Amino acid sequence: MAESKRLTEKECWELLRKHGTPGHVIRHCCAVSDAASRIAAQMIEHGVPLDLELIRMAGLIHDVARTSDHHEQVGADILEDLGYYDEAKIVRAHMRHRFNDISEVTETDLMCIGDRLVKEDRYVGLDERVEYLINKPGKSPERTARLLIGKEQTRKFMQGIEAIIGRTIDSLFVPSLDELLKQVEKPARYIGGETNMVVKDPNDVDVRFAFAFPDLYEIGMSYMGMQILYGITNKSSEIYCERVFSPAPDMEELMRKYHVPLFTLETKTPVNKMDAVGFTLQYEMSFPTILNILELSDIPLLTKDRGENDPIVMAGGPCAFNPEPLADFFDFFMVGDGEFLLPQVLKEYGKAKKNGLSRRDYLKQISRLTGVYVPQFYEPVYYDSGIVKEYKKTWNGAPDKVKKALIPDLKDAWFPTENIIPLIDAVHDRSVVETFRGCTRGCRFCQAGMIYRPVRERSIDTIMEIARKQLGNTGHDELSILSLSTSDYSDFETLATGLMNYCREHNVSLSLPSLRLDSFSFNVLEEIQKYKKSGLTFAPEAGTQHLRDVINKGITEDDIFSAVRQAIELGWRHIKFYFMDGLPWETDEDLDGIPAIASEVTRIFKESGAKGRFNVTCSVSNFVPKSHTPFQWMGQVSTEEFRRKHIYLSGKMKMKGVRLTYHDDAVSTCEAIFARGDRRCGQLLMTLHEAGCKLDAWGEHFKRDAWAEALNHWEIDYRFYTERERPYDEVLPWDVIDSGVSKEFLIRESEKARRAEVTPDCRKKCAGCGLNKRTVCAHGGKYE
Amino acid sequence: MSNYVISFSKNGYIKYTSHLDMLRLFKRAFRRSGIILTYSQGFNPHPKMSFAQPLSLGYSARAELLEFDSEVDYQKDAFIAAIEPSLPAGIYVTGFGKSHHKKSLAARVSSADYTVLFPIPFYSEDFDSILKAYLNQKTILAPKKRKKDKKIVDIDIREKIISASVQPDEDHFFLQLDLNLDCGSQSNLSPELVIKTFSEFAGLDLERYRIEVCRNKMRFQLDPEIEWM
Repeated sequence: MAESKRLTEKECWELLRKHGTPGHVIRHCCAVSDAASRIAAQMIEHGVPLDLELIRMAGLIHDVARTSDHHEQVGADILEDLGYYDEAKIVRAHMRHRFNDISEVTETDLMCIGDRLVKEDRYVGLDERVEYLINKPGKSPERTARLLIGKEQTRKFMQGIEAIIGRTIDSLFVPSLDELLKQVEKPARYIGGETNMVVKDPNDVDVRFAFAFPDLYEIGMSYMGMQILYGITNKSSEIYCERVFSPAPDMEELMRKYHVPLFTLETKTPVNKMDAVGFTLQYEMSFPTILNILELSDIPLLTKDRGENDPIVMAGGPCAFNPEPLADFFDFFMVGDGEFLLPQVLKEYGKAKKNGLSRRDYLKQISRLTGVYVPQFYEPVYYDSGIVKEYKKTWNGAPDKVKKALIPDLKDAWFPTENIIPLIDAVHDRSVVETFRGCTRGCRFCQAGMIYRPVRERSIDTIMEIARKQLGNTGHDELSILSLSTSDYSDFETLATGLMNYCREHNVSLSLPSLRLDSFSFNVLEEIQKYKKSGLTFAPEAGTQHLRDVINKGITEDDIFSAVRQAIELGWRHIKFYFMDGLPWETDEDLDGIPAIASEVTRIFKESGAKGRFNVTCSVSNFVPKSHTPFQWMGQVSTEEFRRKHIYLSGKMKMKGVRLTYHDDAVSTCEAIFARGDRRCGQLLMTLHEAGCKLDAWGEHFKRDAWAEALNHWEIDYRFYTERERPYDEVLPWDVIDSGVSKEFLIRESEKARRAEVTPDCRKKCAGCGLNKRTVCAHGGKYE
Repeated sequence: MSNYVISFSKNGYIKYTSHLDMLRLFKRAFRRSGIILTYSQGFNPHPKMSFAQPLSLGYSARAELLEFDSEVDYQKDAFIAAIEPSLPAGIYVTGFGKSHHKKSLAARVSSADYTVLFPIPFYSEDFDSILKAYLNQKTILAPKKRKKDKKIVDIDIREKIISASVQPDEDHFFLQLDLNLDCGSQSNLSPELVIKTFSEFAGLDLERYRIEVCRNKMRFQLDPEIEWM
């Protein structure tokens, strides 16, 4: 026999045209050729010797004579006449081919498997294809039975292929990321590739880590903590940290439809192929999104269901200070400063992997590190009332209490200067320098003010240097500073002047959030805002002096009104106030203080004789008691009571030029459940997840009815967590976490709140919070 | 002061950034690489920089044009060496020169070349004849959202198609449609309307997300008076 010639693609097309093969058949041939060669390419990659080009061409030509009777014979004859014997053989066989054993797989098998998984011009997979054939006109029980037998043979053959290539054949045919991106809003959320993104070869590192932010890209990218931890982990040559965010609902729908697992932005690797996944816990309403991300990543939701090959799932951030509602879902939590702890646990993971340690042994290993809480080593015991009786250790080696990780001095703490610059508009997209951590004010509702103690400052030189480098490396034209209270920096005037001068010279706009409005600040604001006065904000938090004393918010009406007078004189025309409602011991008289302040401010404007429009906005948020604060024992007002307060305020604030905005009452109740919840709240979270809740911090995605139903059907009355006042001697679910602030201090503060007594700023007098027992506090340690 | 022009290509995932994203991206790349732009005067100074035409999100491009003003004397090689490290993967500067015309590129561009790739075997139909018949229509009506009232109205796009041709693409023998369409402030036609009407005319049953578009070139009615270095 003469040696077989090989068809080229060009000859294929010529043959198809010459024999008048209809367009839809040609498109079918293309799809079969594509399907067969994709599968073949995988097999070849796994060492099976196959002729890829032969498979591709046979696919393209196999229905050349489709319009004839016995088209496979006619088609094969055409090819044979031209000397294309190998192609002819495949074409002749394709209608009645019986698959060979997988150990003797041939090109014919591959072409035919392609043909049997394609419907018209699309890959549809075996089920849909057979379903289609069964229901074609001329349906009969005999034909159906024959098709089903054929289907089983095909399936068996497919399983053979899948065993070789180590994945399902279907998974080779998910739409490309390109095709998904063309169907969604803001596709740049999913592409990575931003300037300053870290590129590493995953094969060169010991540990692959996915940093997950349980919200959309543009929210997560505004969060400085991620930039810090991303930079600090990637500094290590042993670790590759990549990012993952929650997809928006449109993308999620497509990913679920096509079984595309959630992937990292850096390398587009499925999250479940990582060694570890770490979530940042910024707000309670993100908890259902965490479960959704795990599900989209194909990672078992519950710790107990995860195997040795699943990633370790961890979390950190402020909500890790009461980790119990999430205890069932996380292998461990990191409490406190993450700069040193996170790289440490990851490096430990690298070692554990090398030494072949089990998950549990790894967890034992790291539970010795300060700040690591491994929930499976503790088991809560409850009274019948549902109150926690005690926490029993399930492994004796676990620490009695988990102390937060603490960096004694920010001087040693690294700060990013090569921030990733988002490609799309993020909420905040600017250079940011953290000036200090912690706060000395001691507001009794404020969790951040308690858990980030003590105050630790960066030097002016360091701040200036970081700002310079960051602006240089990012090309940002805006700089902001990060701290809990800008003006409290010890040498604020020098710092502000330095930053102002630098920004002026470099065409950078400077924004200084939450300034205390004294005369120096006004000079600063005059300089940095000039013509575009953005609006001035005050945070009295409560409407009357009495209630401000209760919450220890040291701002007086005189402070506010004299600052407003000055602001109006300097040309500000928009004033914004932040208040809370539902504070402990709040009365309607306290609420009346809010419209009273608003009306006094408008009166001051009129009195000033200034012209033009003048606006006052009062933003009222609902008080949510948080763990580790003096108000951690307080009951929260009911959803209905929040609503009543909002209606009450709305009625009193129908004034010209005054606007009232307030938060959703139901959301505040939901938030409060998890803020002080125990481990049993995991069931509620699971129910919410099953009801499809996610991205609940977004008004438009908050599933009000699903939450209401989950709460109503829960075997526990949720008011146990929200409205119930706890006695001081009750075991609290977060007692296992030691924030460094003593319980005695919190009780003392709580009692002073009851008596509306203020505690001075720690810079003036040490309030004895107990932190100096852990570390050196620049302001404390002198408490008697 | 000089008015510089750069041409650049845009490929890969970066094509999913919008026109505004690109403006911000270049503004930052300039700052990052220390290239000094002239700022506008006024209360809210901004760098003088603009694209010849916005490029739709999802389109790749071969030679987009961007112009900017600077007091500094820049040479091609030094400029490219400075800016390339600041540009994300997928964007490459392909040319650098000076414009000597008073008017901006945006005011002068008149048409643009596009390549539209349909993942359909080219030889499955006689696309040459189909295209000819498509173009031979007296009018080609396409639905377009009217700016003033957001109402969808049919407009005739035939006059705005300057030329069109089909050929098999090099990689897959797919249907490749090459277009030269009105582009600019005088008269503008989005390739989307051609894709839509041509697909319907040819009976192509394809989801939009399977079709790729690339803008290859901007054209000017008169000499663009760009002195490429």
